[in-house]
Amino acid sequence: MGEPEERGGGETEGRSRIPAGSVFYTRVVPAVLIGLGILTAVLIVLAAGIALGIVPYR
Amino acid sequence: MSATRVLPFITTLVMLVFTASVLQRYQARRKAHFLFWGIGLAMFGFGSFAEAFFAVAGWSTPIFFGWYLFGAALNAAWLGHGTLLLLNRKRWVHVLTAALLTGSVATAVLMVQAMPRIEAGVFNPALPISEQYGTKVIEPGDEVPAGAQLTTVTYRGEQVQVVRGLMPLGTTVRSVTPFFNIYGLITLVGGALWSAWLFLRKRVLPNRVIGNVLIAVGALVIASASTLTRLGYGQYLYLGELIAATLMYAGFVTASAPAAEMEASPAALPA
Repeated sequence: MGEPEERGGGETEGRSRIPAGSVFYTRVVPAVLIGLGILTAVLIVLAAGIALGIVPYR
Repeated sequence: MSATRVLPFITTLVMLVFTASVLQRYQARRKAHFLFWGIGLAMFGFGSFAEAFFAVAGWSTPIFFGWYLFGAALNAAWLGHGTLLLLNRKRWVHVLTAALLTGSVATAVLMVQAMPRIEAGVFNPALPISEQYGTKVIEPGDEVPAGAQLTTVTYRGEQVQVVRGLMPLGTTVRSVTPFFNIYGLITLVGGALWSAWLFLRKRVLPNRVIGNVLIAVGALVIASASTLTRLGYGQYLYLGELIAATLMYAGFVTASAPAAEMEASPAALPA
């Protein structure tokens, strides 16, 4: 829903840049992305366990 | 007024605005991903509408049909497929589109087949539908919920004690739902995280980084609440839906904001 490449990479240049040296964008956001990726993987494994009958559901 | 009655109403309103925004975009730009998102969001919205309906108006067989088919089984996959269509326009994606359409029709058929077995007499308007749609096997030591209707049934050749639910044990449509939700989880959350990472790496459009993170968090909230519901903890679903709808809409609005507005302050500085 975030429309990543819709306008093409080149057109994004110069429109709005992430501030250089921003702790939020260089440390916090990457850590959040990794955390969300791990949570996604856990949920996928759990859902696959339910789908395959390994995890009992009620 | 209880949360069971209030939360689905608020969620439905959020989803109505969200769905209209996305479908307006589809009308203006005619891109397939907006259509799939719009349909997926409408399905999500129908699910929360059904919950509000059950709380106020009581039981309805067609509404339950829609609640399970659209709200529980299909919406995540349609939303996620929209994201896949945006990120990748190769031919194999169209094969997945055909598979999603076929799978959705097949699931609707399974739901039609399940409807005669629905035990509408079990329905309790005071409880969220997410807490009573499934028949729960009671294992030794399990706590039996207050007011639950216990019975003994034969399931796969064994006598088991169960808390009666609307859908009997072994309802086939319930076994296909996780596959749609796994697909939706991978494509919707994976796509949002991937998009956020791309913008972060290019160091452009911070609004889209934040917007995609909000979308991913919202999608993970509803995925977690749905998984808990499947495991027998349906009391968190309504709150999860409201949080997810709000976060995803906030993410959509943030990601869609014109870049010029996001850099208003730096642009105003003299060179």
